Amino acid sequence: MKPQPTGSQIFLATLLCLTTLEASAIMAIRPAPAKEHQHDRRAPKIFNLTGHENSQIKFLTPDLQSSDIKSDNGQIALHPTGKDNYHALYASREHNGVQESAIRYVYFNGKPTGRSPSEITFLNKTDFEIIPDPLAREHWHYKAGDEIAFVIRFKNTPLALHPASLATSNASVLESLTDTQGRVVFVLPDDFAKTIPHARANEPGELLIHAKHADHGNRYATWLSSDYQVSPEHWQSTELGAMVVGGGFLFGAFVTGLGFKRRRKKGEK
Amino acid sequence: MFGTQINLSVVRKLVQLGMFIFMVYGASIVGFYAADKISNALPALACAYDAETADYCTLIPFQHQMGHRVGRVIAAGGDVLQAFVPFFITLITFLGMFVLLNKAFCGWVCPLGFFQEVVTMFGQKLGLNKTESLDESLVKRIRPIKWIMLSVLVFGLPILSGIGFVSHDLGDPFCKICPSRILTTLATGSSDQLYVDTSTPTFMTLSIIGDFIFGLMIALALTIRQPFCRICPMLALHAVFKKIGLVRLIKNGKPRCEKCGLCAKACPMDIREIHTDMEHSNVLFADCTLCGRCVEFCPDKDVLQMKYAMFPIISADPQYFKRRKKAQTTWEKVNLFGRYCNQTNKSER
Ligand code: SF4
Ligand code: SF4
Repeated sequence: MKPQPTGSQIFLATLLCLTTLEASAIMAIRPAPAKEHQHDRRAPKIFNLTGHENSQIKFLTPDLQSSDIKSDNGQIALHPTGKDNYHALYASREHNGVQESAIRYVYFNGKPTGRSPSEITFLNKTDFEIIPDPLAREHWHYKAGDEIAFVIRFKNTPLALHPASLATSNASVLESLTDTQGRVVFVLPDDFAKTIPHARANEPGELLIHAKHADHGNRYATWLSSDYQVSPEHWQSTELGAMVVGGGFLFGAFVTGLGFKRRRKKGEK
Repeated sequence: MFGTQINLSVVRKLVQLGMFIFMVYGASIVGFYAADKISNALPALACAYDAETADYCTLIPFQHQMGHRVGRVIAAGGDVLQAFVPFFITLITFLGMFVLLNKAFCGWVCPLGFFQEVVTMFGQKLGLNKTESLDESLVKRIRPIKWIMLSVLVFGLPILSGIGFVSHDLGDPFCKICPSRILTTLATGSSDQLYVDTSTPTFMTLSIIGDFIFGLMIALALTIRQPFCRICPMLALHAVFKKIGLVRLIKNGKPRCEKCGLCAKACPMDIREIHTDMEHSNVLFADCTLCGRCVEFCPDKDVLQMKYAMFPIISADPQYFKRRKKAQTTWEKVNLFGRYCNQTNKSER
């Protein structure tokens, strides 16, 4: 197996610090390091499930068809389903008396199913769950600086004023509380150590939202993972843009004289 | 057909306003996730970069399909027909909508077209003198630009970038300079698309051109009607298929036409042929946006008609013409600067 990149090690270390549960009690679904074939749309998407021992893994298509998935020592291969839109990959287990679950939404291209991703996100998949509200739309990504929101839900009921945390592979940690509707908002930190001035040249980072809960002596913990990208603000200047727009405007005003000259001529007649 | 106060232009403005709101902010109406999945092939410049758009224009999938599919298959080999499948699907979707409204997508639906009209109105209310018609020679020189925009920026460069002849940064060059991208995102309160991109020389050049065109368009629109529409590649794309659209513009030329020319003066796209063409009954020209002003300002009974398939929508009518002209004069009198001028003149007298 390939050694993990340093960013991932920091990411896991951050998670270890974050959780007050046992150090091993972490579940997270992260993409395996990219290989050549992963640029092929028909190739399977490969993920690693941290905390795969004794877990049950399920895969849900956009039209809510569920199937069981086997992992190979934590490695999961998802083959394209031919259905367009977000699919849900999630795993759950009982570990040291804690009901744990991990989820990741995965996009596949294919034929439209006519179903909205909100059906898959809001479907009750595990007792304790983090729901993106909303997911990034097709062609869009979470990126540094974005406000992203999630609903924390237990047995179909949003949890008000409930703590949740966000950790990134670039070693940022944020903590926040849900509002009265059970919705928590994070501003994604701009924490990439190095940015290359070109959108396609930067590897995305990983983020992990985590929450835990206790109910009638039962303990629950859940994680939602996703990628996020470098903010293009590193190589795009709004101020310069506004100046060029101003330049274009002045040039246009100069060329047309904004009608003043003509009015004067008319007035002189 | 219309009451004394309401005329076709007023109806059109109301439709344009409704379409602007729907196109720029309609994601919540059609559903957040559905918003970029409705057609992806709209025959108007509603923008994919606007996170709240209800649907987006066909030019972005065309550029991507040329670069990612067609260009790559030309370069690396493979099933050429297969490479064109997504393009054909987008084209058929585009045509399915286009047939219903024809070039009226420009005059009635496009948010960028409406914005320019609003700026022109604003300029008039500020008392700036409107350029009634551009010189004929200038109009003739401007007209080919839309075809160059369509063939080079929407199809040519994206294919060449897919082949590898030019940089990948030229994969969607029209979007990079499109004023609708800046306008619609700014309208939603986001300055994300107002930038100079310093990452590569190509992106820097394109972003500077895009910003400059946006500023230039606003300044020109204060005194000149529809400045960007005249060079818009969507106008050219519409022109290719204008014969299959259900909305038509018909002329039954009369000898009086020769001395009149009011239709051409009313035309915001300076289509003088609407006046001079006495041979054809189908007078839907490449630059027409089906705004209907020529019909409104034609004083001769039934000489110009706008029809939906066989059914007349509006026909030229002397009574309507008189009312319309009066309404226009009243409307144009109301401007801040004009009032100020009148008062000064009076006090000087
Ligand atoms: S930038 Fe212009 S051409 Fe591109 S999607 Fe937006 S409106 Fe269409
Ligand atoms: S020809 Fe008539 S309908 Fe077409 S743009 Fe000119 S005024 Fe509008």
